Amino acid sequence: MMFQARHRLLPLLLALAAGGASAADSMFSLSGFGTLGLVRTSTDDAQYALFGQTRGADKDASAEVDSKLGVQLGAKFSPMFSGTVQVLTKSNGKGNFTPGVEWAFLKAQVTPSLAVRAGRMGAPFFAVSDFRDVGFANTALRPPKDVYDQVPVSHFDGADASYQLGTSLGTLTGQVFGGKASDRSQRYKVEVKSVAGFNATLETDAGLTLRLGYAQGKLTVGNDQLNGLVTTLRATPFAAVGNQLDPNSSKASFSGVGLTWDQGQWVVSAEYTQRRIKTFLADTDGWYVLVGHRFGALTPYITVSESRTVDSNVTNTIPAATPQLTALKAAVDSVIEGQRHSQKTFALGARWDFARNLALKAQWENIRPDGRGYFIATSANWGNGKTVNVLSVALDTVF
Amino acid sequence: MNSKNLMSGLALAFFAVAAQAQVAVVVNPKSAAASMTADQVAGIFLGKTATLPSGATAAPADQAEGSAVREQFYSKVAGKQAAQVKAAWSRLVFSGKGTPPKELGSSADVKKFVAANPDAIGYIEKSAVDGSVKVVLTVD
Repeated sequence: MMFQARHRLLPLLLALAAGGASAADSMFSLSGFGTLGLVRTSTDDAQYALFGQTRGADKDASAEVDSKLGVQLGAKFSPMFSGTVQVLTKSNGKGNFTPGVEWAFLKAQVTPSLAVRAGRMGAPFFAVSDFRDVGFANTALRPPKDVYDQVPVSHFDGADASYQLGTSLGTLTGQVFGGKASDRSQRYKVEVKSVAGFNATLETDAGLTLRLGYAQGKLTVGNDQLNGLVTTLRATPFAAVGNQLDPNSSKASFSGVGLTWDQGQWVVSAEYTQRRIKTFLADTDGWYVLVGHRFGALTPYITVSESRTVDSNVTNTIPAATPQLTALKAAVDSVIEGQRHSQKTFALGARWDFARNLALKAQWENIRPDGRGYFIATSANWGNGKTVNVLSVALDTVF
Repeated sequence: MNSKNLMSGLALAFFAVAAQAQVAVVVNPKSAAASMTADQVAGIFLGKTATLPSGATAAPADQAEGSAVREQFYSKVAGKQAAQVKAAWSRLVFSGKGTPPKELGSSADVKKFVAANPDAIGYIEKSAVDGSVKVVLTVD
């Protein structure tokens, strides 16, 4: 379905862009962003990848983790109505770089302070959800994985309404949204139905932005192997364990608070987030604090972050009484262990704005995983207490 | 990158700072606003607010990227360097929340635009101010 939509949209995009170029004072605006990145780590026992990617970097450097290209077309039909389409290519959850329609929405600016949108749009789960892929817009090389890897979808299909209010403290923006989301994460189909949530942001004139957000939905992970295990368990006296593992229509919620302070030469940002899910996926908490300082065109920064597995959501009560039960118990344990995303990260980096629309970044991370952490393709040698060093460089642009 | 261009750009920037030309924020003479604060003006040019103090939707005009008057306007009124302004707008553009101010080539073009549009707001060198526009803020 995505495939068909893409083939319908691309000619449309081209036609719109051509139309935009010919119109004198155009109603269309074409813009884009891109990143060329390279990552390597200090281990061959696991791979460093982002957000549902099927492969990543180890001792062999990978250009796939961070490299991406986005093209966005905006159209202003009237003072009230506008539309935005964004097509993004990056190493995705299907294991390829096939461009996907990240956004395609219509916006009605009903009054100067009230806007309503419908279509596909960025899912506002985090402080930098909307521009997480736009490296140039962010100080750090990439949003901290310990927080941003918790949610496997980046956009949703539905509608939202946002209202801006000027207060004595600053501009307060309230947003409510609803719809459904689907994507591929490490080749598995992930669907979230009945998505509903809100966001409140306060932006003061002193450069401080505070954010509070909440979203909930019904999550389904299309994992045949796991569904098979659930079916098997339901035929045993341990049906309760099967019910806990059931990856279909599980209640899921995500909440977060964040702050950004960007005034003068200092940049500070921090988020604290909680993921709560009633299925085989674990409940996790994630937080980070970033502090940066501008020295002219150079902005060195430090990020400290952590992801904690609060609850596996599965109590493995199966006894190792018979060889069959032992195998079943081991199968359940391996599912639980695969979802243990605890890790601590210390990162040092710098952004260099060396040209008008180009920024060069370098980042070193020291990651201390407990369990799998957010690494993928872990080998049998992947062990406790090992720390991993990750070195990344990226060139970001906007146009 | 062309380091010669970069160096001459830096030299120009220093020269502009040394020259300390005053920048005037201008609106249409028919505008109700008598004066505006630096925060109000910065809010419009950084996309934090879409409206003038009167409540009307603002039509802001920027000067050419890299021009001395633009560098000085953003550093004095918003306290931001060009790269910070560009990053701030890329956050808004790539979340579909706004489009940057219309970019005009010269102070003469800004005056023409502001004189013709009752909701326009722009900035020019103070020495370029004439009767076709109204000054609401001056910075140096």
